[in-house]
Amino acid sequence: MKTLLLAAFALLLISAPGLAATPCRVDQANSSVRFTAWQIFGLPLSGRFKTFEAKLFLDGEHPERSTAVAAVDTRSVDTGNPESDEFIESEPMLDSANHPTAVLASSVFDPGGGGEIVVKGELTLKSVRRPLIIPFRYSLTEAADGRQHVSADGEFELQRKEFNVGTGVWSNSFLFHDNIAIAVHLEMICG
Amino acid sequence: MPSEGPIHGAIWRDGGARYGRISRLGHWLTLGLLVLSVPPAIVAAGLPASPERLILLTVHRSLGVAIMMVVLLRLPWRLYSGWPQSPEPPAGPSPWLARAARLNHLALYALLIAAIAGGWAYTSASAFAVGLFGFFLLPPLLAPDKELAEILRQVHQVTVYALLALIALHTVAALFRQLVLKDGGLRRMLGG
Repeated sequence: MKTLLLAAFALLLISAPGLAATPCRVDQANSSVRFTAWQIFGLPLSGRFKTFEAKLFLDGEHPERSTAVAAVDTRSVDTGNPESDEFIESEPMLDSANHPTAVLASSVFDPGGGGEIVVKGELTLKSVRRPLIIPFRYSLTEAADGRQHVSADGEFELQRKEFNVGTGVWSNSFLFHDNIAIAVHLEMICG
Repeated sequence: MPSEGPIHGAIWRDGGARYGRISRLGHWLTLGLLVLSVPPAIVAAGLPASPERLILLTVHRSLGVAIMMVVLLRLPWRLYSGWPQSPEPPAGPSPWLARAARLNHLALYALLIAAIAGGWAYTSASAFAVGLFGFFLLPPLLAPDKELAEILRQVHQVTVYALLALIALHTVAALFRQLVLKDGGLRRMLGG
């Protein structure tokens, strides 16, 4: 996973966090990256990515200056069915062998009111980089040791064809709907 | 309930030794859907991940849901309507044949339900959704489980083969009664 994040951190260094920023790391056991795709007749196919990493540099005074970077191992698909996992990781879909990492790097944090924040950034998936906007609901709590805990939930949709997910016969929108829903749940410990 | 003339209602309901339209429709609809549902599963089993396999299995599962709906309507109808009795000998079958037929009918219902429940459970354990051609989705019966899915696949397969064997027996018996005993056994279900 360290190597997975190297490229991601290189991106992050370009937008170096302010001095006030507190680094937060993800509590993997309690976090998840889930997806739902829809097949023929709208039958859902859901799963998760078992391996991912994310770093948040939280600027408490100027939340808009916070930065985040996340990397997902596209070889860690888990639908509950090994055949489906293999299919999703196959060349026409995620092509995980050649594109093992999907990276999301934030550029702007747009704080809304009432525990909401919109993260704008770029997603690199299958070597295609595209802008992405993810609205998050989050809450900050202070743990017994005085460190801050961030709990965040974000949901967004990807248009799979923008990232060449589903090529050849699998580009058919009747077989596989164009939109894929992603739900991210992050539990982070800061400081 | 609006009053319904006895003559009009009698066409639909069972009476005496006769099967009414609802019973006959349920019977042939079950057979037709079953005949359509089996080949896609057999063909798909030999295919790798492909659009063809996805379409065939989705059609197979949808037909299974359709069969389940028909069977779930037939069961209360059979309970409400009673079970039409075969004519007494010499016009009808001997008591042992009538009893064997009744046992086979019960087994057919049981295996239909087992085959459908098994297929649904197998699909759920394989982490696939079950629905009726996009009209609605059914909830998963089980959580995804690779080992359990393999067991359920075999259970579903054996159950369906047993069902097909009993259908063959049922067909032979109906033809025997129609052609040898000449007691009108088959015509009862054809509505003649």
